[in-house]
Amino acid sequence: MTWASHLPIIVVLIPLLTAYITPMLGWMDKRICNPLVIVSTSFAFIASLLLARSVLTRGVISYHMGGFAPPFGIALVVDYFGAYMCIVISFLTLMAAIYSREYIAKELHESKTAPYYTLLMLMTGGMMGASVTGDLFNMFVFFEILSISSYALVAITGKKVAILASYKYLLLGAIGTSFTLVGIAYLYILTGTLNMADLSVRLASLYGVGRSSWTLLVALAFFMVGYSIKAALFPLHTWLPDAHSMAPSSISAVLSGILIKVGALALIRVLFNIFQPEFVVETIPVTSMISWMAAVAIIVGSLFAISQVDLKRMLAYSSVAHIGFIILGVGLATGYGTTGGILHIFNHAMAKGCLFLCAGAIIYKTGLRNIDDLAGLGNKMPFTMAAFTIAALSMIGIPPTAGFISKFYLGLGALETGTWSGWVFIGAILLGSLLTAIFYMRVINNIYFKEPLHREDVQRDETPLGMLIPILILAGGCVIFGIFPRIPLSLAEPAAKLLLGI
Amino acid sequence: MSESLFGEDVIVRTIARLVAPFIQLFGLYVLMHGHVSPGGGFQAGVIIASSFILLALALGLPESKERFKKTIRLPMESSGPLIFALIGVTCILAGGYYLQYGIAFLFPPAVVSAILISAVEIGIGITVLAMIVTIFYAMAGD
Amino acid sequence: MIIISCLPVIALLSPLIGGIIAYQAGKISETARDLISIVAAIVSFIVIVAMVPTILNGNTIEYSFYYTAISTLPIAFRVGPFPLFLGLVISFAWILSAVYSHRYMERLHSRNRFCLFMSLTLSAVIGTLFAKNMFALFIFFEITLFTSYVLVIHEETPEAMAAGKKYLFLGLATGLVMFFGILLVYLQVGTLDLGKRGILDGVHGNILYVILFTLLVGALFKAGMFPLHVWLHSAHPIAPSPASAVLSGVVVKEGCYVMIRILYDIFGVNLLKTMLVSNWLVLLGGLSIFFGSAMAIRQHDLKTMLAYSTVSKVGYIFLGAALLTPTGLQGAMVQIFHHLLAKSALFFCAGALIYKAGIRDIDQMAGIGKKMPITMMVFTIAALSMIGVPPLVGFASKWYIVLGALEAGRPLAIGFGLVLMLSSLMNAIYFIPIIINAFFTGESEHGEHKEVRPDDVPLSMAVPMVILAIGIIVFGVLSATTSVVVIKPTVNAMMGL
Repeated sequence: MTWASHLPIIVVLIPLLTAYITPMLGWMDKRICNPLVIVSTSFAFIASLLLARSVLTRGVISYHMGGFAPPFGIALVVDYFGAYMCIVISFLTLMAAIYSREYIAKELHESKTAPYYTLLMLMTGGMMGASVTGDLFNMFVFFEILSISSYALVAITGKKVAILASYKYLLLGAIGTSFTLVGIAYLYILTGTLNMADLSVRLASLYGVGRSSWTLLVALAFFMVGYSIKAALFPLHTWLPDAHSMAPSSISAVLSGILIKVGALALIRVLFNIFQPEFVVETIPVTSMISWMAAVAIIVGSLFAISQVDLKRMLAYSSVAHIGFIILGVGLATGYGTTGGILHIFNHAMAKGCLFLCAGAIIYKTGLRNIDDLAGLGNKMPFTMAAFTIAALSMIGIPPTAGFISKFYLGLGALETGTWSGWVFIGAILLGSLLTAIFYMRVINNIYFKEPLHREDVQRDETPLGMLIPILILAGGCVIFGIFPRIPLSLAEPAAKLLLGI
Repeated sequence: MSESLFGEDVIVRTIARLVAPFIQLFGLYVLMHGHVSPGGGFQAGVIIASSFILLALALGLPESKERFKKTIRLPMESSGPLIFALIGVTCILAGGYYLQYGIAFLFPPAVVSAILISAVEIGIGITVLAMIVTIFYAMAGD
Repeated sequence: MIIISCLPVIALLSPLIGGIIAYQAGKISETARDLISIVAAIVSFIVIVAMVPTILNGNTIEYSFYYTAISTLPIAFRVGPFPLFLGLVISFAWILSAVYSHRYMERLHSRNRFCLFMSLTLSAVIGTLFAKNMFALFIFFEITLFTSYVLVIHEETPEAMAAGKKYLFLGLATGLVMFFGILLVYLQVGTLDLGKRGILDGVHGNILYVILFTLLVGALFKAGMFPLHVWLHSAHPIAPSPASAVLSGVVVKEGCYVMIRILYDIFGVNLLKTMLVSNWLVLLGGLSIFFGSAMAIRQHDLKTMLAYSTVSKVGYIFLGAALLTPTGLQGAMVQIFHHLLAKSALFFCAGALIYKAGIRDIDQMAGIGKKMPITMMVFTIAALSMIGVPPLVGFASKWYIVLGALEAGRPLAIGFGLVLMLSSLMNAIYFIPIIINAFFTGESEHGEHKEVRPDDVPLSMAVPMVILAIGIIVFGVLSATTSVVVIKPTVNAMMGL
């Protein structure tokens, strides 16, 4: 065995090991935490890239934990989608870690530095693990790791509103987790296995067989509800606006950028890896149900975002709308549509990550959160605001930013279904895009074209370099991957084809 | 809160002090026999932790904490999973899969597997011990 | 013959890079900034000129970035005769506008930003012209919307913001509708290439009408055609005058260009003839002509009047193109060319009046001709061309459009003859009084421009206006020659003759 064959476990181990080391080192010297986390996340990122390369050259990789072959042992199964998610997760976490250095020093009490990085790494490890695992129960465990650390991270500032938001998040998250656990139990009763590939084979013989098919459907329903809560799919999104707007901005970026996408990943795994595409698309039209919910999410999320006055809350509602785009693409279950949904995971992670980091930079420099107070910031923080604008345009889907490419694929996917509901979905996509424009253009107009209240506000006062670099990298990514979308598509396209079995 | 539940009751204090080492010894037994008989790191950790909880109930929180300081607990919390993970990495370095105990590495596979499993159990035990005590202290108003 | 060359990319990038450099330079020296932006436009112009011989020999120039965008839809450029000559005129008009804005803008704020976004708009317009497929075209088309939005709201007053909002959101909405049409085309035929004169051949059914409608909505919005003109009369006048000139003169032409590409390259003449939509499109053009002229008569604000006049002239272009005859298309192209020159000249004049005398209202213009003779002479020439007085270039375009209508068929020709006479009359109604008023009436008693001394605008503003006026006369006189040398081959290439 070459070292490369161990990559699936390495990408999970790197953040987890860092999480164990960080509190000890942080106990000795707090200044070590940040460089340590940056270095280890960089390694995780490089390992993810290598993992993706080996998946692209060798096909799906199966790694047997402890040497026990599945279905008896726990297997890590990395397909195109898993490798793709690993890259997105490690990339955005790396950006958040670089950003945290200066941001956390101001936002959090010194005693919380080590716990902050520990939890961040635990969460990353959980997300990486959920992406690469091939075992249903293992995925549940990783989901618990990432959920619990995210509850703590939301509340880490210790402010009353943050604790309240975290509590709300915890309650709904716990409900979601219990639902998925019940679903797992049902499937285990039916089949006696927890390995996804094995489940898929054994469940195929149970579709529509007497009472067992009812159990199957109940299990499916539990999974859908449980993971929809994790993914914040409308109408189960109620925890998201509070949690994402109250967390420190670097954490909001990770939460909004990737954590809810891991919920979407779990939905995809359940729909296409455990159940077979024919079953969820044709026999029981689950995909069309979640597509409708996603279409409503796009519209309602955008409408809620329009009515917000708090910048971070607006961004959080925008995430509700954009998780709708992703789930809609998945639910369309067509080649273009699912590719678009998977591609949008990456594009939205970059854009929303950038927006939250910019919002954090605004809070860091001026303490402003209200959209109407942002006048004059275009002169005060030109680079940050330029990045904000680019990311916002990507969210709207204006060419040549990355958002346009995912919109293009999603639109093609909706039309490809060839049904009347496809026309409704594309209507939702286009209307959602227009509504998104309304609330982002309001912010951009305030930043650049509104007379500031105090003249002294417009003195040049740029974000510190350590925070500016990740912001600019993410904004640059929005443009570069809009002009060269084939880089993410080289993974997203085979991922969708493999999931749909076409 | 720092006062003992039982005041200055001599019987309770003495018995608790006497019993605690035996509880800990039993914990160690459960730990070391985890891979061949019922038990293991998790159970052992809980048993040992219960001895500190008993001390806290009988002697009061400050005295219990005096015996198990934060400066010891904190490294223990982290080092447990670290041992676990590093054992897994050791298996990789020895040429197997992650956490594949049954490999020939200096000793025959059966021996290696016994050593490694015990080591993993010790790691788990350390973490569980430290975590349970920490959670108890936190809930008792640390 | 296809020649691979990166010249179109250079033409596109030179204003882009020049604009960014100019923006940075503007922080140090205003003159340097304007010089750089003028030089960038000149470079773009020269590069386009350099492509002329190749194209006239019957070749096309192509350039693709194969690794950009989606595998079958790269960001690629193809230069045929039509884009080339339009690009030539547009980049030339841009040089004039850059020269003009040097003095005009000195009284306004945020000059660096204005300069940057002017250059970006030029870059995006050139990109739209040279795009090889509808995907690349749409990318640049949308970028133009955003860059020109910044030009519209330059004053940052509440009125400007309101006009800009209308422009931006209607533009986004119609752009999304057009995007929907593009998706439909791509799913139907699997290609968006613009060089095949009718990629939708072989598609049947009602879907064709949906595609035509959705695609035209986007293009006609940008062109400011009748039902979608609602933004134009508020957005164009509110922008600074050099920006009004390029918005009305150039950005609107971008919409016309896209509209012609949709009709002739996506659908193709044969398909449109079988779809029997020509008459309806001609009717729409006629309505736009009539409506624009009627509204222009009612205006008192000079720039608003000019904006409504644009609505009417775009109607001519659309009508000429929708006739689906070679001569009609020829008329549409001459009209694009003519309107580009004349409307830019008129907005420059309106800007000169604002700059020198602070006049926006038509009623205040009494006697101004004696004080600002050059400005008002240019205004007169451009206005006469708008009315269609021979031998100016406006006459040539109307002439070809009428010929095209005659070619298309008798009932249409009679109907169109009426529209044409009526609209020429209306043009005369709103332009002639201004000219008479300016030259032959004494100053009114209120005399809003009493303080204006009888010298004209600065040289850097006068020269662009005069060049445009000369262009109107020269190309009017030479219209027969240009038609044979330039327009005819272009039309033949478009129609596949």
